[in-house]
Amino acid sequence: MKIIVCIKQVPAGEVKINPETGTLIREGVESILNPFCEYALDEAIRIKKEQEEERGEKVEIIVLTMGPPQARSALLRCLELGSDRAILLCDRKFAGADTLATSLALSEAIQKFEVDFTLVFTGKQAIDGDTAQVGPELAEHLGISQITYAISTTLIPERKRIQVKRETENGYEIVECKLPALISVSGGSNIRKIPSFKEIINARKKRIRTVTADELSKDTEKFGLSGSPTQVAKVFPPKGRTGGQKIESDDPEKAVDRLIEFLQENGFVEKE
Amino acid sequence: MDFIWTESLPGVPFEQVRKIEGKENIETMFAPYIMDESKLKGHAEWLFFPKEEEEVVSVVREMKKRGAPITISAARTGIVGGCVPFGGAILSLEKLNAILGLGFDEKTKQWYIKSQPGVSLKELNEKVIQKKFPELEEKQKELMDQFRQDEKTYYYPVDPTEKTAHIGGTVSTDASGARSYKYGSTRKWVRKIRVVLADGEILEIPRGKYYASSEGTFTFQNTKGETKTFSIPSYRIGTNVKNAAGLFTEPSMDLIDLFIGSEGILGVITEVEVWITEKPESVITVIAFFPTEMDAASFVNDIRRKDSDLKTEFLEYLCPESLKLLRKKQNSDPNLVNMPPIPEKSAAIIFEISYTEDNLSKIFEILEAIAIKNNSSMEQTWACYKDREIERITAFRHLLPETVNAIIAKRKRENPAIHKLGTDMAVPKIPEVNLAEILSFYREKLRESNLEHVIFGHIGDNHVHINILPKDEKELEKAKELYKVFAKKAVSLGGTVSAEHGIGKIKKEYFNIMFDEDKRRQIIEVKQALDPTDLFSIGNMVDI
Repeated sequence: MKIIVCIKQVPAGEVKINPETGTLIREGVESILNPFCEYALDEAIRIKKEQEEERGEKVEIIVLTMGPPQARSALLRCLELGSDRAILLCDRKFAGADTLATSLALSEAIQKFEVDFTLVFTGKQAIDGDTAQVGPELAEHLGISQITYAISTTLIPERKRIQVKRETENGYEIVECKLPALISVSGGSNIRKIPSFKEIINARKKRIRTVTADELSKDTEKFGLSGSPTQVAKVFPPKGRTGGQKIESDDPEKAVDRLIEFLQENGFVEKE
Repeated sequence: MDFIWTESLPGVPFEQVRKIEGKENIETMFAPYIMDESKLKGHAEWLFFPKEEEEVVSVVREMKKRGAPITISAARTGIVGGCVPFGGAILSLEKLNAILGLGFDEKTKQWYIKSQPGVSLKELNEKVIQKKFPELEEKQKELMDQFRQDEKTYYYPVDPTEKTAHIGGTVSTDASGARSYKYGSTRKWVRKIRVVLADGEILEIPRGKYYASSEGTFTFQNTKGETKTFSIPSYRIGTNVKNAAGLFTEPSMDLIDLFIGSEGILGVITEVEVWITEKPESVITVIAFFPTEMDAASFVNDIRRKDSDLKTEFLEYLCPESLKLLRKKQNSDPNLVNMPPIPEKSAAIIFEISYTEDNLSKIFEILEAIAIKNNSSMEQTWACYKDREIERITAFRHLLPETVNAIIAKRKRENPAIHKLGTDMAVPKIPEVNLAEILSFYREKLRESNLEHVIFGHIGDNHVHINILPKDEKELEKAKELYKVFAKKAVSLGGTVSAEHGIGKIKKEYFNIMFDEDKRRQIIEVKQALDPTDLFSIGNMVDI
């Protein structure tokens, strides 16, 4: 069985934007594996362990990303955490891609190199762009079923189906679809796995294959900026939330008086 | 006879120095200044905040005239009450907080920083690592450019955990910490100091300028023509033991070493120059788990033997009880511990190694062989090399002492007499001293006593901390007796009662086990030669 995990490298911490060019400042900012992608990888690794131990079926996890050469470090992290090999779509012709061109490149890579896959996992969204579009678009390109916002999955190999518990606006729902399928993952353990030294060394022996646009298609115009129907007009950081009002006093009675005053002034309680 | 001449500064009017007067004022408005992290509480009549060296001189002259002792104070991060005053004046050096210069020593090809004592290690290191010194841009433009052109990243490697500590405080206490395994204590990094002496005169002491005479003496002469000669202590402390107890001494010693680690009893440090060094490009912090304490000790010995290949930054220990306590914490609050499930093993070693991608697999091979030999494996490790994970593992390392302190704080609320007993002994790193034997000795005595405890810390320096957590006063007394047993054992092996905490006002009972009356007299003689009226930091190290 082959599981593909699509991942993205994102800047760690607060994102700063160059006010003149409107682009993200990436210099000097540490890059990390997008947390939702890491949850997706966790799920793939869990299934691998389960299938190999319980059913004796060999499962291979291939991690896939499109990005600059620096994205290798995010792939390496995935290899340390338990992926078997990695593919990096790396070419200037991929640059400037919107979500459609990105998902197209990913789907062509999968169809070309790993067409016998059973599952594709993605994070529900990347924490920098927050679009949540690449996963669903990728499923469309591949022409397979998709279940988004998964928080846990159960593989039913004998029926060639997967059952997924997914988040909704109001709670959870459990849905099933047939394989192959794409699952976008929205939750996982807060406490991140730490690789062992052995895993760190082993990861460095695993293969990261670099693929150029020309290797994917003769028509490279469909990738990157030229293949992107949408363009970002402006990027700006979200407004920080203000801290609200804090009533501080050593004397609880005075503090309560001030709280009541506040509630009365704002019409939450009636004045006596 | 080689004289060491001191200089005189005019000083400024005493009235100019910012001061707080009155015991009550200080106690109510400036309470943190009469305490340190030991929570020992003192009292004082004056609190001074000099902003320049001349103001320090004025305070020293005036207090000497009034017969009031001066307790020198830095960031108060110490845990032995060294800066806690009992009467007289507190001389806080926190406003002497300027970085004065950057230097390059042509002879040794090393960079150094010149600073006033009140600069924190945090500020110093942030500036050094980023090579950003706004205060020096104009003054030393050319040298700053040269520093920036140097491609290496530098830092000040002494890391006594408390990064808010002031550089002056760390020099006067010879601070160390986990990384002293590789870098030694503060002493090794001090290039020069300036000191205000008890007669109000100033002495600049560069390393390598003033050595003790063949008779073991130093002779000072001040601008008034007064001379004083004193002998350096004749006791010997092994060079292969990490030590923070007593005045430093050795034949033909450098005068600068007498002042470093002297706990403020000889003078006021008003300026320091410290070397900085190349920061390792990448480090990997690893936790390895072992079935027994003895396996862990043997692993440490094996790593130390391979140190030329491994370049270990530090080696820290977690005993069976420590792991048990952390597992319990993990069960009740996994997010706080923020680590994968702690394995059901008996001991752990946390170590850090500097590496490059090219030599990583070689390092791994060496470590794997050592781990397997000691019934562990590299598969059972947690290995962190990314910044965020190193932060996690650092927090994990600090979690144990924090947990212990929280338990004790809870017991203290029920019974104020209760406090933690934290040992600080180290034994020499020589083949005759067997690390496993020392651990077994501690273990056996602790088992006999039936006291709750954890053993953790700087095992690479043969310097583990035993924290005893008494439940009541009876146990506290028992713990104090046991502390003395451990102290005697360490001393009998050529070790120390205090490897890094210092003596201050709190650890004198144990200091006296290591330094008998004659040795203490030798320290007092040095103190009284330089400070005949007992002006500086009385009550630290020795009772006069």
